[in-house]
Amino acid sequence: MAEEQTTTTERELKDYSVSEMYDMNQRLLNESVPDVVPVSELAPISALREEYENGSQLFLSQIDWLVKQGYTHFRRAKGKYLRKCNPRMHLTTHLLQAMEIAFIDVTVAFAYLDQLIQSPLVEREPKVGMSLSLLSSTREDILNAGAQAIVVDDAYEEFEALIRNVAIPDAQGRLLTERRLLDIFQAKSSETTYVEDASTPPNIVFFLRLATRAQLKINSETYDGFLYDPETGEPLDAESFCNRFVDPVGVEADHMQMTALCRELKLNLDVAYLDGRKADNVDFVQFREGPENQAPLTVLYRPGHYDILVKAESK
Amino acid sequence: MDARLRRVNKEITDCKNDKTSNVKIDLVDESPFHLKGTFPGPEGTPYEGGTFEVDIVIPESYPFQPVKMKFITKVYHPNVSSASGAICLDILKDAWSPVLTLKSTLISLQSLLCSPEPNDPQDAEVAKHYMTSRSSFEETARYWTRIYAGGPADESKSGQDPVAIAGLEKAHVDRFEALGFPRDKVIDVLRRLNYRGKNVTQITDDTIVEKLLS
Repeated sequence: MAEEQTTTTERELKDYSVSEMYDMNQRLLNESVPDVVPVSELAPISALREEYENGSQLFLSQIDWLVKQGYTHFRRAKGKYLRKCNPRMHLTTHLLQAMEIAFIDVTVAFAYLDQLIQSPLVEREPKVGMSLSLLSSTREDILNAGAQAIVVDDAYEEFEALIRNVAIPDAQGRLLTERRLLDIFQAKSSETTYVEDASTPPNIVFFLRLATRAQLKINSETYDGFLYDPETGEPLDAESFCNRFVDPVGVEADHMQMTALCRELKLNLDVAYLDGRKADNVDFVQFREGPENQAPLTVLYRPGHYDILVKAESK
Repeated sequence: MDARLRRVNKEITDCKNDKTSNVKIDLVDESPFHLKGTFPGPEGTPYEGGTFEVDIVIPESYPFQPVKMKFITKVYHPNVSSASGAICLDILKDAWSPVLTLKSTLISLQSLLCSPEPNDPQDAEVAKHYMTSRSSFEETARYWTRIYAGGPADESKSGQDPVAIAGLEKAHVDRFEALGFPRDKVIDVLRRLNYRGKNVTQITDDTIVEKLLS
C-alpha cells in the first residue's frame, strides 16, 4: 500500500490521461465543496463592509459609494469554496472557478423570483401573469430551437409552478414567500434523504441556459460575429458557441450569454463590479431588455462570485 | 416522484417509441438507473456489421451530472480503453449538459467510432497504432469487431488469433518466437513497442530482445 502511494506521487502529471485527470479533479472537487449555502438571508451592507475592514481600502470606498447610491442590503449568493490543502490543487482551479461563476444563473433566478414576491399586492397578479406568458413563449422558442420536450418540461414545470405560486396558493395552501424561496434555494439532498426541493434550483438554472440557447439559435444572424471562443478568439457559430459556452453545467456566463438571457426573458439587469480597481465608484454593466418601468435586478460581482444587491426602499 | 426517475422514465419510453433510430436501451436488472445501450457499428468504418453494447449508470444528480457509460463490447479504438471499455469523450465529462439524453449520448458514441481523436486518447497504445499505420489499425479494429461484436464473416470464436488481436503480423511474432521466447511474451512486447508500419524498420532487433529478456 505504502509502495503504491509512492508510485502515485512519483507519477508525473503528463502521464495522466485526460480521463484520469478529470476523475481526479472530480474527486478533489467533491472534497473541496463543503455544505455551501447557495443563497442566504438578506444582510445589511455593513456586513459586506466588515469583510474588507482589514483589507483593501479601495474595496471599502467602493462599498461606501454603493451605500451612497442607496444600496442598503445584500444577499450572499454563494459561500466561498474551502480549498483543502493539496499539492495538486492547481489542476482544479479552473474547474472550481467555472463552478463558482456559474452561480450567476442562480443569483439571477433568485432575484427574479424575489422581485415578484416583493412587488406590491395589487401589482403581483398581473406581474405573475406576464411572467407566466413570457415563460410559456420562451418554452416555445426553446422547442423551436431544437430541444426535446422530454428534457425541457421538467425544468419548465418547476419554474412555472414557482412563479404561479407567488400569486396562487399551492396544494398545501401556501404562497411563495421570501422564506419559502430561501428554503428551496438552500435545499439539499443527501445520500440518505431525498429532498424534493433540491432539484428546483438546478432545474431553473437549466431552464435559463435553455432560454439563452434558444435566443442565440433563433436569432443567430443578430449574434453573428459576436460569438467567439474567449481563449483563442476564434469566431464560432451559434450552435458550437452554445455547445461549448452555454450548455455545459460548469461553464460561466459571460457578457453575450447574459445579453441573450435578458433578451429572451425581457429582463433589466445591472451587474455591479466590486473589484477594487477604482476608489470613487463602481462600474455597473447594464442590460436593458425589459419594460422601462421594471426595476433592474441588481447583482454584485466580486472576484469569484455573485451576490444580490438590494435598495431598502424597493423592499 | 424523484426528479431523476421521472426524467429517466421519459427517456426510456422515448427511446422505445422511436422507430427511426437504431439505438436501443434495455434494463439490466429491475433498477432504472443501471441500463444497457446497444447500437450498430457505423457503416463505412471498421466497426460496420458489429453490435456494440454499452453499460449505462445514471448518477444520483442526473441530469445535472453526466451519465456514466463504458463499452461492454471490446472495441479497438484510440478513445476507448481496450482493457476496461472506459471512454474518453468530452460530453461524458465537463462538456455534459442536461439537454443531452441517453439516446443522444449513445448516438455520440456511435459517431465517436466514425471519427477517432488520437490526440486525446483513452488507450495510448491503440492511439499509437492508429497514428503509425492506419491500414494495420483498421485491420485490427475490423478483426475485433468480428471477434467481439459479432461482425461479418464470423469465424468460430475458438479460432481467435492473439496475433491479430494485438494488431501484429504473424511473420514478426514467428521470428522472435523462433529465438526461443514464449509466444505470448513476444506478442506483449511487440504490441507495447508498437512494432508496426514504419516502426518495424526503426526498432532494432536488439531493442526487442532486450525487452524480451527484461
